[in-house]
Amino acid sequence: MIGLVDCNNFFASCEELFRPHLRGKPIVVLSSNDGCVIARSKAAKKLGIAMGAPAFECRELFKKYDVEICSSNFTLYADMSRRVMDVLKSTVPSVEVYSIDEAFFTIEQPDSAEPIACGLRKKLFKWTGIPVSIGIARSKVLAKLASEEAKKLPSGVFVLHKEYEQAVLQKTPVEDIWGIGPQLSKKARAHGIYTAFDLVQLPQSSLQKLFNVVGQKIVYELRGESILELETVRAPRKSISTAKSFAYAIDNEEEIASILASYIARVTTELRNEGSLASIIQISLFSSNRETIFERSLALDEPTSYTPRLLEIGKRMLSALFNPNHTYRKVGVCLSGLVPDDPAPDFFRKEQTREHSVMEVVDRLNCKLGKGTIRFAAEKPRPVKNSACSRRATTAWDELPQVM
Amino acid sequence: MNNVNTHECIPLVGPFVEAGFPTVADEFIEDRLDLNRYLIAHPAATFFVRVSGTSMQNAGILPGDMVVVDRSLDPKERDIVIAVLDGQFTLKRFSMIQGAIHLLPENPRFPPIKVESEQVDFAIWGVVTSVIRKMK
Repeated sequence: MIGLVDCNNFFASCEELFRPHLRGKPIVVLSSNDGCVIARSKAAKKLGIAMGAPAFECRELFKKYDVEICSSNFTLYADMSRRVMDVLKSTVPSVEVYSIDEAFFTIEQPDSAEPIACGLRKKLFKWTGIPVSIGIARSKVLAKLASEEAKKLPSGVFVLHKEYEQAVLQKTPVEDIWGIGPQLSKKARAHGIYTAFDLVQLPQSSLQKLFNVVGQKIVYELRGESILELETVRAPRKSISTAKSFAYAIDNEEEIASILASYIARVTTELRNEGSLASIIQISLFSSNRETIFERSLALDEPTSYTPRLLEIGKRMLSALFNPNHTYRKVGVCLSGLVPDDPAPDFFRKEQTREHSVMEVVDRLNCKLGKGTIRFAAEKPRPVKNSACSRRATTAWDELPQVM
Repeated sequence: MNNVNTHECIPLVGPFVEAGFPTVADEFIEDRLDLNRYLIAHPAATFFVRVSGTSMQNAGILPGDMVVVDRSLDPKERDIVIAVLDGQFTLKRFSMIQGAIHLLPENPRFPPIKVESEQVDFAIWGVVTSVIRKMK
């Protein structure tokens, strides 16, 4: 069988762990620049604070109920996630880390599924302080449904046995199936398919007409066939991107250009870490009216990971997109068409080896002395709203939790 | 094996094929002493906490010290633990007296604490395995 470990209110739980006075209290974690709610503690959920709610809209509610507001502390969350995954990997045979707070694993003895899951949950909380829910079923898609059930139970564990699959499928609306997005659900509903059970009942011919291969696989999984394998080794990424909202609307091209430059520097560093080169660069500019996104893609003649070249190209693309009559709320860059960086040097490209050496020095210095030690002139520092960030309790010597 | 991240060049056991002659000593090269391995048994469950009070000074734990805390261990009698009591971290010695958990200070100025069985806001956060004090 396949299990899914899903951390409960992960970011909020991380905050609670090092600030025990927050236990049981309403806590929200806000996105970068304190924009919107990206995590809520159980008590905050009870107050009706919605996921993704813009922070300024909830200000009154936060004040009224004395909600603890935390700026996102991704350094802390990433470290805590690594701890949870490390304990998991050292306890069960195969683990696929699916997201920062979820992982699939295999259960080799299905008869002991429940005690194994209970033991695992206890161990994870004891060792890392993070509470989790565990769902176990015959396939990944079903395990996802099982973990949703587990979250509602005080035991935090739910084993979806074959006999109960039908009951669960009947009460699961099509939208709630992992892998079925809003568009596909609309299409399904238009064809009279409302629940997961309806989907499972579809004859093969209708199934193939309505869904592509990916959709079909999901339906097989819903029927209990484990088609999707556990990917224990992460496949090389197909694209690397970053896009963050500005703290305030910007109508000045130079300011946006310097923000974009810092994003480009960051993604190209990650690109080099992956050992890849990018052949396509896409710049997206989001206008303040929340309706329009301006985008431009460029295919490069030669795949590259040389930051100065990508900075130059990015800047030119931004100029082409920028319109002084608009104000903008967000900019993003996406590098795709990734190919492995072949270490074998091309003897006819002296320039290539020089570029390699330059970036190697930059990367080594930034790694040794801290991110941002060496920056490109185009990246100017920008104001970031991060008013209530908690301590990086597990990664910074001078931010450790204190005890009397 | 626990993956303790130490960015150290650890010499491997030789002899290698290198320019020059291998010496007899090559066979005896061992890993350098690694503080991470010495102090941390369960990296995923180990946290560092800074001490800011004097309640454990007679046990040799002083303000400014750093304690290494292992959450994976169960507290044994007389272990030093970090506990959470009424929403606060506290550093005390763990003791079972007549079936009840007691948290004992090591400083006459602080009162011993008995954890009542109905006490809701109490938990052992972790067991202290070492105290680290930098002299410089």
